[in-house]
Amino acid sequence: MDKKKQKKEKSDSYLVLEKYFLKNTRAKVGVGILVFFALVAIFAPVIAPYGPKDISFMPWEKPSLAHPLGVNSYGQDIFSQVVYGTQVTMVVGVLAGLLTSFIGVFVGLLAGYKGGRTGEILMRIVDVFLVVPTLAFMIVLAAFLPSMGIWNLVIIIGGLNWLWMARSIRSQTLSEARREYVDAAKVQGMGTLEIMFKEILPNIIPVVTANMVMVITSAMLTEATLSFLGLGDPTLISWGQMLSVAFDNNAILYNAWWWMLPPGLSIATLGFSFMLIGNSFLDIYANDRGGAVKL
Amino acid sequence: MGNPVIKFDHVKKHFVKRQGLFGKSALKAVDNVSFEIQQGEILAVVGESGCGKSTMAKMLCKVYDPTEGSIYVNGTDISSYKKNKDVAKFRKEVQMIFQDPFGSLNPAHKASYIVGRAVELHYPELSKAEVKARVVELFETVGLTPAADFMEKHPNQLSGGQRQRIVIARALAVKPSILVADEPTSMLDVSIGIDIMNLMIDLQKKEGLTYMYITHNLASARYMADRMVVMYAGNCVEQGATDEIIAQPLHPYTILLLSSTPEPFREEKIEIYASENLPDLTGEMNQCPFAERCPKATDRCRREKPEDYRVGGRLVKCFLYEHAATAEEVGIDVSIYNKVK
Repeated sequence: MDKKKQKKEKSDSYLVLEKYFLKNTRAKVGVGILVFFALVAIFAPVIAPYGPKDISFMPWEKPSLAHPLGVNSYGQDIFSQVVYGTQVTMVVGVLAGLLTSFIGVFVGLLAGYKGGRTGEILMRIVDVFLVVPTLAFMIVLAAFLPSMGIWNLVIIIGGLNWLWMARSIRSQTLSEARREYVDAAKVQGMGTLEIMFKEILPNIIPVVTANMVMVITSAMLTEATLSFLGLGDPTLISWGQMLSVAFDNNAILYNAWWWMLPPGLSIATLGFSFMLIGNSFLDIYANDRGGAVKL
Repeated sequence: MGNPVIKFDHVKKHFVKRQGLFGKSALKAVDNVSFEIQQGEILAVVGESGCGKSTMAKMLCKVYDPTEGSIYVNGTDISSYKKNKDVAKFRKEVQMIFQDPFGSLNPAHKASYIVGRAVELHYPELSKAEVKARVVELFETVGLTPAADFMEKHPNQLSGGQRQRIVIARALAVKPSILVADEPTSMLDVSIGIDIMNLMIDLQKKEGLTYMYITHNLASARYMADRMVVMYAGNCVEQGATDEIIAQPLHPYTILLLSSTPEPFREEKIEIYASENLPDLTGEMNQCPFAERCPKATDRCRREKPEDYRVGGRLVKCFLYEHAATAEEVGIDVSIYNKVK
């Protein structure tokens, strides 16, 4: 009897897994790429043949068996740098993405559920910040901060990226809050926080996931942008930093494609994998609800 | 009659609607309604869609606050409950059964969590095992047996009737003395609806509950209720004992409502005599709300708003009954819908 029940329960969560993942080719490809990069990041010391900052080779050496992606102008092995760069890019992306998601979900849920004056004030604040060009604002912030370590990057990116997410969560919450189970929760005497996080949030998880994935992508791209502009931490090896150094050392003039393409393609591929996951989740969620869900 | 358990005292609910940039208009969902419900009584609130029935239910459950007037439960004005502790105490008295068993159960939770959470909220002193035992007991009370078959299911794995039983179990979980039922059977098949109604009547007898039963279905009102309130456009147009109203309706709107009920043995097809102008709820109401559709409307009906006139044990909001006491007296032929083969 008990066993039978457990089996049923398993099949229930299995159904969700099947719907959102096993029958979803885009998500499978996306997760595949993501897992690949995660493994590279975790096992970077094993995979990379040399240290990322070792200066012990001939500058501008073309790709060879010893240096699969060649050597840069300082005599550093590019393959090792790309491998180690995965760590920084993923850590910054994921941490900033999580920070963004926490703020975005909280503000969105509060504004959507509470509505009235609270919601109005929160959304006006969001509007004001949306008017400010984010990148310019980040550059100004970066100029004022004493250093641009990983944590500062995470805080700056996370603190400015939640605006769109808050809007999208709010709009979903608004429609969810009109449903009768929310009234039922009120009549039962649940508190505001419980209704927000235990009643409404579980029903908008696909939107939150999709948003989170987008936000992680944009956090990674922002990190690359800031590093490329020279606002990152010069002692860190990240993909954006590599592109920045390549640009500063006239890699284009030397026709050193092996220095520019690998970090650029890596950024694009990793971003693509997150996009695949997010968009496919959102499509399935939207189909269940008649097709009108805006991110 | 003793002290009423529930008393609506000139209750109004206006929803403010923005129009254009600066314009505002009020939608008068409930306009000046007064009635009382006695201990252990089932009162049916009957009326067409949009007449303010559900708004009244939600006001009684403190989902909305009335714009004007007061609602008394056990002699206390419920808008005076402000602190969380007082509101929680009030929630323990008054619970609601929702109309839509598909929308009112959170699809993200299991049946046992939905009911168990309601128990936990109001009886925090119970241990986990005690809560579970109570949930099983509740499932059995509402006829979901064996309870183990339903405990671990999500609402989407259950049928409409089973879901509505869970909604009832959730409402009973706090051991309320008053249940507000907002069209609990309107989304269900007729045969399942009657099961739910019988369940509610059984519970009322066993636990001595007081019901406010909201419906648009006169037959179910007749089956369930001791007394009845007929609503039209936010106004209470007629109230009294159910049997009396069904046997001898007075207000022209009640007559229209009764004559539009399908009756298989009725001799002739009845032409619905009223026009189909739906009431405008936004305007300033200086006339009888039913005047536009009423075949007996006079100039006076369009000039001023009628008050409640007492006819026997009933209150009727219609000028026709200022002096008259039956529908025949005012010239409405009600025999036609009673004539059966």
